[in-house]
Amino acid sequence: MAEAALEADVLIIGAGASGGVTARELAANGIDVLCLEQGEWPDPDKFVGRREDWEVLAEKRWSPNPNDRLLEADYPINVDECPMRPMLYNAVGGSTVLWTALWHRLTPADFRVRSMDGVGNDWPISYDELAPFYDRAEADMGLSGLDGDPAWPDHAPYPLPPLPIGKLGTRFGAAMNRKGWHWWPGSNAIPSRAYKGRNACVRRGTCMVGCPENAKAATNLTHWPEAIELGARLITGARVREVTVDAQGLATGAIYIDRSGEEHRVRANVVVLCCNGVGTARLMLLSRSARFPDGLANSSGLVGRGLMLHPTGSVVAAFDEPMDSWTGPFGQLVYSMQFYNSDPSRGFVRGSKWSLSPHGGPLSFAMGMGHGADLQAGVAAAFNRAAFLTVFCEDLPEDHNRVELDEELTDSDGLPAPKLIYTVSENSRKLLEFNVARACEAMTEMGANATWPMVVNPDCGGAHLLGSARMGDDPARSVVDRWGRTHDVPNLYIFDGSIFPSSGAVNPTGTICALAQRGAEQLVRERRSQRTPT
Amino acid sequence: MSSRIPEADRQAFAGIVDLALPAAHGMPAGNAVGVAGEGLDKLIRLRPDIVPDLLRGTRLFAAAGTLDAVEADTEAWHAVRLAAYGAYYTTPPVQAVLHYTGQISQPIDPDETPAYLANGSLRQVIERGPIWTKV
Ligand SMILES: Cc1cc2nc3c(=O)[nH]c(=O)nc-3n(C[C@H](O)[C@H](O)[C@H](O)COP(=O)(O)OP(=O)(O)OC[C@H]3O[C@@H](n4cnc5c(N)ncnc54)[C@H](O)[C@@H]3O)c2cc1C
Ligand code: SF4
Repeated sequence: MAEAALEADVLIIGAGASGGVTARELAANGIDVLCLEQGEWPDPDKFVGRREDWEVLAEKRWSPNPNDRLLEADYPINVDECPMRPMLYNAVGGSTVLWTALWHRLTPADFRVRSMDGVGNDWPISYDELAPFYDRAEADMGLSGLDGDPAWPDHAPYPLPPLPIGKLGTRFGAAMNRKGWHWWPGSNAIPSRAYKGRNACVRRGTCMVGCPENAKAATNLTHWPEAIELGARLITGARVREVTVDAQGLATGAIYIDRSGEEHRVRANVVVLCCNGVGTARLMLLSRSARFPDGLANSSGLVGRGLMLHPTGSVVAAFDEPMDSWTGPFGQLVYSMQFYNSDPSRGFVRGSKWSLSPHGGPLSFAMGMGHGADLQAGVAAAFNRAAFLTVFCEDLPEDHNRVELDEELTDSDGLPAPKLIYTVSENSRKLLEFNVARACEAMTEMGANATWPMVVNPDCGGAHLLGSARMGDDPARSVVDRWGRTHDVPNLYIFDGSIFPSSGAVNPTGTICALAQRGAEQLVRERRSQRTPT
Repeated sequence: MSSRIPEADRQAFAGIVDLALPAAHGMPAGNAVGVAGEGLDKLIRLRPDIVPDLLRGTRLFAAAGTLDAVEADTEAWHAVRLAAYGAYYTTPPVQAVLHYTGQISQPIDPDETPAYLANGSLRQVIERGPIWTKV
């Protein structure tokens, strides 16, 4: 181990969405922040979205699945007992480097699922408490959207006008109107005009391999440069293997391994975990000690449990005329909240959100279509004439769905890899069946000549990693309190998607950013009364 | 040019391409646009990681003479299709048939009034009033 320990007032682990938001807020308030990130700074010049062969590289070096990429910064994930492919990225900016930037708030009812439907967990906070932090996150990320959607309470205006909805969105809107169903122009963290140092989106449509135009919001662009200017320190290539504790049970910092394999110790007064819904549980389980033999802050036994992955259904639909189906953004053109509210008479509880997107380039389109004359017929008839509709479903927190440490698989530093044990619940399956059937009706109303429904699409779910260290008032039933502070270790916080008590059915990163902003502001406010190691 | 694909495997790959990408429905045949030649070389330069699976696929095909035999090996099937389709859809003749320009820059005018506001199509949604559940 390297001799001299680094020191910081607050140590953040993970430089993704929540890590970026936290670092900037703390640094802006004069706090001495150090962040350890196992990945490197992404280089937009290396993004492949402008290359003609981008799709060939999209499923290896630029795959959202770490098990495909297998870069040194990645850790493998055992999914032998999980029907979904996990999606994440390990770099400054974290998974926002590859995300598609669909952005929503949870709705007020999402915070009260136990009270309203007798399932899942109520949040210890309400929509109204989180609303100002959503406003802030939307301003920082540069949201493009249309104000006034009746599916949410009124809120602060989006900073930027919506992106074009294209031919597909226009047709969808008309069809949904005929059915009397809700639809709305897409809200995306993709700037429709130049915004805070980022360029306007030029609809290149390769958002999922990194935006080569420096347009799409990712915290390596939106938060980290400013955080560093304000004094935050960021060490890349630093994989944390353990959060350390003292005899009083307080966190004292962390031990990390650099890319040459050398170990280093960091001492800190406060530790904030921002490693996402898989990485944080993994690190807590890795941080076993005499004081915490079952993993850090795990007296509830819930670290890793209650994992939610938003299983996702999809419908591809083909039309008779060209639809500009590869034109970006590869965010959402339009969405629908028609089936969002819970209606137990449908045979399941909770609801879904639909998003309509372009279908991407010809290679990914063809790879889904078989071979021979059928392939040629399918591509000739449907390429550039198709839509891709995604059904996101509310996933219920079930404690048997979990992150564990794998007994054999390790990362490049020899640390145990996470294993996901997850089944799609009966409620989710019924919810997806119902919604995919309704979505096919909508596509038919749009004029589709063929539809290809998929009730659970393993390649679509798995990007929303939630719930594995949930928030609650009761230390026996949750891992962190309403501020993200672990019940067991008063100077250890979690600000990433792990702390969701329930998942809602909307894309979660707006809520992750809002929770991190709120948690960081509370840390600043309470810094004088914060317990720290002596 | 050094190619890591032995001639016999290239021949087998060309046989796969004949069946997987025939001339049909206005689309050119894969072997007419160089998929098993330059196309394959380009693909394995970009994705050397697929070579072992690809070669398993070509050998399964050489032995059985049918695509079914390759399809039974999921990774091999994926690799041969990725190589064949990856080469095929980046050739100019195929892109021309599909009217695919590649992922080009298409700047937007954020100040343009969207049609759904100008023609009132979103009004119906608004007029139905709030749909979120109060708690
Ligand atoms: C392809 C794709 C599409 C997506 N699309 C959307 C979307 O449209 N809308 C949406 O809301 N969400 C989307 N998401 C999800 C979104 O990206 C995540 O919700 C969000 O980034 C999570 O933020 P986070 O801070 O929790 O974690 P992340 O952003 O994942 O960051 C975690 C960071 O922690 C680091 N880390 C982990 N363990 C360690 C360790 N031991 N030591 C050091 N560093 C460590 C990682 O390297 C990583 O950089 C998508 C994700 C992907 C991959
Ligand atoms: S569509 Fe827009 S946001 Fe997406 S990659 Fe292209 S420019 Fe970037």
